[in-house]
Amino acid sequence: MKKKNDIETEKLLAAFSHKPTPPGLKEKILDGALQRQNSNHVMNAFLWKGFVGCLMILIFVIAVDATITKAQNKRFSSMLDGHQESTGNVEEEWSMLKDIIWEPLGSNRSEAKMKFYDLLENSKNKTRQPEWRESLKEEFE
Amino acid sequence: MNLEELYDRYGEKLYHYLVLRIGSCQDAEDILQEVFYRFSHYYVRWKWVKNPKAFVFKVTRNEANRFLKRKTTQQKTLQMNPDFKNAIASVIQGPDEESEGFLVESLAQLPDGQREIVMLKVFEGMTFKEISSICGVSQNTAASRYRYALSKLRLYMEKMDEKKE
Repeated sequence: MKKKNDIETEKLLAAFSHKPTPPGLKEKILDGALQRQNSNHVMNAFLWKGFVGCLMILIFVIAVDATITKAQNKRFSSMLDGHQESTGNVEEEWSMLKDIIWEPLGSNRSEAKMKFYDLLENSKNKTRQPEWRESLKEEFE
Repeated sequence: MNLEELYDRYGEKLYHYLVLRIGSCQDAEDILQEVFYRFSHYYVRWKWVKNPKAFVFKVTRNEANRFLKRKTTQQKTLQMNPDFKNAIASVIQGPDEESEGFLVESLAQLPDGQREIVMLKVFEGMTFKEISSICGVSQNTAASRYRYALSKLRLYMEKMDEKKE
């Protein structure tokens, strides 16, 4: 509850008001603020358009990438599940790839194939039986 | 809300508030310009502002505090500044010159926190809820500061009356 003295003081203060502001203050304040705003304007309309364009391209690339990845994943998973159509696709692609690989070899195709298989076999044997194991075997024998 | 509309609504009130707070008409103009420059970036935020009056005063208060912070020792010297009373006198209008002088003298003697609350309560007619949101204090603190300020003002005025007699 307010004290009597406080009420009296409030009444006394109520008799006071604000004086009008100096003339031209409004123009001064607003012009100054707008001037500062314009001087600190870093992005003009052209830069904004460029920025929006780049942003849209980025979004498009991300969306396309996501779609492709999704389709690939779907295909791989269906292939792993043994889906015939996917397996067929892979086999078809593999045959095409084989043609591409062996075609430049021309008439020596079968020889090259044989050499390649031999090399493959040798490298497999090497990895399966390392030299140190062989030498140890010989020592014990 | 565009800047001109904003100035028409609150510009003069903010100017008075700043003069009474800072104690310099020139500094008050500079700060007010800075405040309106800030408002020019806020065009989107106005939609979400519940109480625009409290909001503009809060922004102005923050800007005034930033100004005072820059002048670190200003807080103590403000009271001693001879222009301080002149600045207050330039924005307060009383029934007569004598009472105007009394009030200016008394307001200048008040601590900054109390003077601010008196200004907002008496001259702007704000509620303690609005004042507490502007000053960042509780409603009880705002109310008690106001009471202290009133009792001090009464004492100052009585003293001045005695001196006069």
